[in-house]
Amino acid sequence: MSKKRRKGKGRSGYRGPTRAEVQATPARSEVPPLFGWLSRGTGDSGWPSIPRSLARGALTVGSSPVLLLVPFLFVFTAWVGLVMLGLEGPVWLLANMAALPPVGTFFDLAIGENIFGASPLALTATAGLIIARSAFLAAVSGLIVEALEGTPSGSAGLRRGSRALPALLAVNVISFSAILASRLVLPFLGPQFAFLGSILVLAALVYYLAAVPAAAIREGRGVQETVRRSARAAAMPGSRHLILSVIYVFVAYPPLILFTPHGNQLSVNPLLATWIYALVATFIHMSFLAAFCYRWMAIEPEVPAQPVPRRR
Amino acid sequence: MPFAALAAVALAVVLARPVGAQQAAPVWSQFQGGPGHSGVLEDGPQPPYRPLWTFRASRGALSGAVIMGDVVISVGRSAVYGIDLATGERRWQLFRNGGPISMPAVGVTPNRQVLAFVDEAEGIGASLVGVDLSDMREVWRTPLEATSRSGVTVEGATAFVADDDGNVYAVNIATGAIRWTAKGVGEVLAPPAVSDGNVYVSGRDPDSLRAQLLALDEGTGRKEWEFSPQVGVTTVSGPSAGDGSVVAGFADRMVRSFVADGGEERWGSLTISLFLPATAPAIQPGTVFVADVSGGLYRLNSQTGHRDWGHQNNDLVVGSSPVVSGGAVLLGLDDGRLVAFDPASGDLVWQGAPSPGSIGPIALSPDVVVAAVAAEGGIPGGLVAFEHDPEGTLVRVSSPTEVDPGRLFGNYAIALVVTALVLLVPLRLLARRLGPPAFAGEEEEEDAE
Repeated sequence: MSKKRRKGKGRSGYRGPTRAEVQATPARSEVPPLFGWLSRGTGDSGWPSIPRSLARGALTVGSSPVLLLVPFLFVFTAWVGLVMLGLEGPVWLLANMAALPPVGTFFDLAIGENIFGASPLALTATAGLIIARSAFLAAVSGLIVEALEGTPSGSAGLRRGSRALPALLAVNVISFSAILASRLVLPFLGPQFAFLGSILVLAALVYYLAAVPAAAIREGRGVQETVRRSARAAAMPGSRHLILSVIYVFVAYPPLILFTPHGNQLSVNPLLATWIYALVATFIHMSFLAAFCYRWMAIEPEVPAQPVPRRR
Repeated sequence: MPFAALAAVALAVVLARPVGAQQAAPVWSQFQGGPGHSGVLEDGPQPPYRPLWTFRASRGALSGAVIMGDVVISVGRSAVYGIDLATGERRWQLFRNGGPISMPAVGVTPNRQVLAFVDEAEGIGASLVGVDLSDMREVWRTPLEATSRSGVTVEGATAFVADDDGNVYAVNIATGAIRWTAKGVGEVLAPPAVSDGNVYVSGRDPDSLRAQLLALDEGTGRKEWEFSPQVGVTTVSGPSAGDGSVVAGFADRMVRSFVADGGEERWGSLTISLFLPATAPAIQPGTVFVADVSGGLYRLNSQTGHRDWGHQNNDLVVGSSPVVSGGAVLLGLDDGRLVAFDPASGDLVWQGAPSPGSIGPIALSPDVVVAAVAAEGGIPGGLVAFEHDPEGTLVRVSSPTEVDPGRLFGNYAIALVVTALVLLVPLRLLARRLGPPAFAGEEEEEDAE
């Protein structure tokens, strides 16, 4: 990003497109008809549609060597590190190694207990995993935001991403606390409702916190205000943000695990098919992260500065 | 029908043959070979093995076997079978009314060898039955207060058995008289272990989500101590005891060792998965072998609980307990394989072909390994016997949980290249044609202005 561009801008350094601008923007004749919907504006509500968000997320991540390699290397490094700590599998853990919070936080807790049992060491390990995941997601979020802004530069993206680290730590801590609380409460609902409840808790956390990385990177506000703005954005009308949140949880939680090749194997040497699946799953997680960033960037100027009073 | 008459009918000998062979000393007299459940036969057969014979029950399944001289004894749904150890042919059969199938045991009195097993008749209830193996006559029948699935343990002249209500019974195997009873927390699914003057009973109460390891005085039945893990840890494996300690695995994935005198927890060792109640550790001086339900076999230091090695078999262990046969550790898997491990390294050294039905308790004699096989897919359960195969070959397969740098890095590197290329090439081309998202372009235009 040039100095000129930063000069004179507000905290966000970004102005969202007006509806008129959005409708005028795409050079439709230059875009393949099949994928034309990817270049359209954000529509009446200001929010990009869910398919467009996901497609733009996948395109952003999949077209960038850095955005592919960094998560892929993280997954491998994390696996080797956990194996050195004592992890013995199962290998389906690989599929969610790069999951976004709170799904990732859920697995950080599970991995800590897997290695150390129900002990204080497990909590320590979970804390370490949370810090590592937060740092990783902050870095990748910085790269994604730069890519979405059309100025991917690598090192600058990583630097910008570091601004999101405190907020991502907060997101993980909030997620961790909510998961622990739900573990205490949900068993009283019976096994089936407890499972459904755990999914809903995860979906609710995604709903309110998904925009935190992008908001933190682009606006540079304090942690509390960033989390609030993410929640306010989620509550804006027309977002269909809840649907996207539920989709992410339902994709990341049971299916990615269930379909992992030889997923239940206790092994520290995953098969080739398992690795390929794990890397594709990582790409999916990163695509969702990019989709959430994209959606935030599309509606950032419209997010109210103060809580909107409810209509009675 | 009067109880005595029913008992007489129940014990009709269907096939009468000379049973002098049963006068031989017990080789594997009960679950895990002895009252402490050590699961060790120092001069047991070495791998590799080859199948020797298969014996199928007429219906249902068979219990784990006990071996008396050259006869294998196993309890079925409606009969107790005596099987020739060398050929697998049925030598004799006793009628049994029914009830859950559980491990029998053989004890020796000054006058006779007594086979003790649990029988249950509809309308009458469960009983512990004693049969004189010299003439195959029922010599006593002791009623129990509830259905029993624990199996029987015999130490000296006393048989120990427990029922689903948590009652523990000590019964004189010469007369059938109850010496004492005690009460545990709930259903008991493994035979009690007896060692160091204590009787150890692992029970659980599914309603209160409570598991319990209970130590009773062997002579009086008085409670010596008990251990219950936190609520929610609902299962505990069968106990194994010896050399002043008792070991059991719990549903919180912990194997725990307790001092026999007082019950102080000596150590706890974490495993991958929980332990089922019908299994028990094997213990040698200085070493504990234990298998969790997910198929992990572990060698633990019996003094410290330190894990010397663990081998993940990636198949369930439902009803089998590890046993030590000479220089190998044997285990039965859910896919019907009998597998053998090097006790020093934990490497798999031999595996049999899968058989229909999960492998259950294993019994050892100096020449033959006898494993119970569960019923599956309409095929009744039974016993499968193996003998040493001098022409067989051994393998050496390390646990998949040991890092193989070549496989680990190689598979990852190939996956990285393949996945990155498959994603990058088409999506990069597409991104070039589409350009950045609309708002990014707008930003540049704004800046230019």
